[in-house]
Amino acid sequence: MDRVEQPINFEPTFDDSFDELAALAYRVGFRLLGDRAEAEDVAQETLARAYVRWRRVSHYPEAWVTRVATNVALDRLRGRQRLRRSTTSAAIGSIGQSDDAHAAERLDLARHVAALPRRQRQVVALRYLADMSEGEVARQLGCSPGSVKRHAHRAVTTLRALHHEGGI
Amino acid sequence: MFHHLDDPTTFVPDQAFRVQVDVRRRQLRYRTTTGRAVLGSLLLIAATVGYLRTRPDLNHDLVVRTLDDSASVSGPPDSAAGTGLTATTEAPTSSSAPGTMPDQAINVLLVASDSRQCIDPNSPYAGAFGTDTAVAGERSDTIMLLRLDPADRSISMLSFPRDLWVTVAGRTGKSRINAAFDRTNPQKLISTIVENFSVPIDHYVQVDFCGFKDLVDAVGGVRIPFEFGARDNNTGFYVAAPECHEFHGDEALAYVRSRHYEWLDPASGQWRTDGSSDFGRITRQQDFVARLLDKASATAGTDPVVAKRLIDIAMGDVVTDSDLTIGTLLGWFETLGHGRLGDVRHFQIEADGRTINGNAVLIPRLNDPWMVEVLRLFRSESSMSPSEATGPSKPSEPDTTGSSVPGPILPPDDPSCP
Repeated sequence: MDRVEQPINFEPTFDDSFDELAALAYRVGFRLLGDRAEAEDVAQETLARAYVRWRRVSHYPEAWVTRVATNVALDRLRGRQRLRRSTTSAAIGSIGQSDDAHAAERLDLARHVAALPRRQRQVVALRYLADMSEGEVARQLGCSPGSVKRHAHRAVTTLRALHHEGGI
Repeated sequence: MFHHLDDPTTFVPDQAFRVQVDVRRRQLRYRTTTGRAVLGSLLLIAATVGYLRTRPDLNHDLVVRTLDDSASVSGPPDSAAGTGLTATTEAPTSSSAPGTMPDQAINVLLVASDSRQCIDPNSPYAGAFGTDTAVAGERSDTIMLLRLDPADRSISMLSFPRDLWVTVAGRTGKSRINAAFDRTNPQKLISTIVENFSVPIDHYVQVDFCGFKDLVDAVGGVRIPFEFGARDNNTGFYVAAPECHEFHGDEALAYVRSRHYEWLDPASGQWRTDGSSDFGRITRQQDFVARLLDKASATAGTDPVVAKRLIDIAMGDVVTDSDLTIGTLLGWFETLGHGRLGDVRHFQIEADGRTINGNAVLIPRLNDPWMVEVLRLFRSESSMSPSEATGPSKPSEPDTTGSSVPGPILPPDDPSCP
């Protein structure tokens, strides 16, 4: 029987973290899906999953929530086969006309993020969807900041190459 | 980089959102619990078989409860279902070395919670559980820290009176420690104790009334020596004359929950009130829990039926942290403690009674020299050997009620009452 490594007293509680994590999951969902209702669904699903296994999640809640919210959002896109369709979608309309350009960009982003290798996708999600600093991403993933920089650079190069306008 | 893709309106989770999360996590929880129940049955069979095979050192064999979240839903969220079974069945042998006492002292937080679910309203002891309105919702009824130290083979217990006035983790202002109890979030109470008293907590065990009753019954009752007759008209327990009384189920609850304890003074033939209220109750509870653990660790070691019952209860009614099983705990207790009940050291947080906003509360006496010494013991900063313990002296009577009649609140340690 090992002594508990991490002092269990310093982990945040689910209740305490709820608002912050819900906002994080929502932001990830919205950046990828661009729809309030869908982003809320993503956040709800993510938070519910986090609750069920909070004991583990509480060690690295932001990273976990970002990863799961990204996956949930991408799953939703796949589920609707939107990635195989053209960039305009009737579902992306709730935030107004002016966002049509963004709708296309979101789809590109989602499609390209989904296509990235696993490690690069993790880095992109934490760095650019959860807006973490390089140092924070490194800490969350347990690797060096240099390695984060490298993955991020490669990922962004790929995204730029795929994204004709280089708008990212 | 993608801020332009954000929702221009700030998202704030509202009540409807929370409800949706709640609904969804119940669905998810149901799925995992159902899976775990099936897994549990398999493990129980495996455990019983293992138990019969290696009977002589039994404390190794109760360790089967790996029914916690971390084992069954670890890994990436979507792979949980597939890998859970393998990971779980291997866990006991690889990770926890069951039955082996850890090198360092461990502090286990034991919490018993109010819950009327398993109370038979027709029971003569129904009074032990208050009225419906009084016990609406679940609260912690008993909070104690159990310390097992392999270095000097000592066992110590530290109780936290439920009216203790503390800062609850994550809140500002103070409230009763009771308010920190959240059945679904043990962390709140753990953090509260750690933050207020700076004692580490390594493990957590939570039992509700049902679990407590079942544990007492599973070991075939717990015997308590009474020097005098004793009763509590509120909870309904009654021991007519000096004897070694065996408590079962509801009556055991009526005894450990008694706050209006009376004893029969043989000189006058009158019932006299033990005015120490919660403090007397705590003393009786610690004594009872020590005897219960002692009996459980002893009988589970010789009686496979008891062992199986304890496993059943541990699966159903007892909540523990991911690294602890009831079997492990009993194993440690047996290693250290069996037959040494008289050596178990009993402590409680010393406190002064005050009335704050109309509530009777207890202000912990953290700077009291005795209290400092006791807390150092639970922080592993002191072993509190007899020589050290003679330094600061234990306060004779807690200043809680003003005019307390010191009664025989603790039964004598009678060897004829095993």
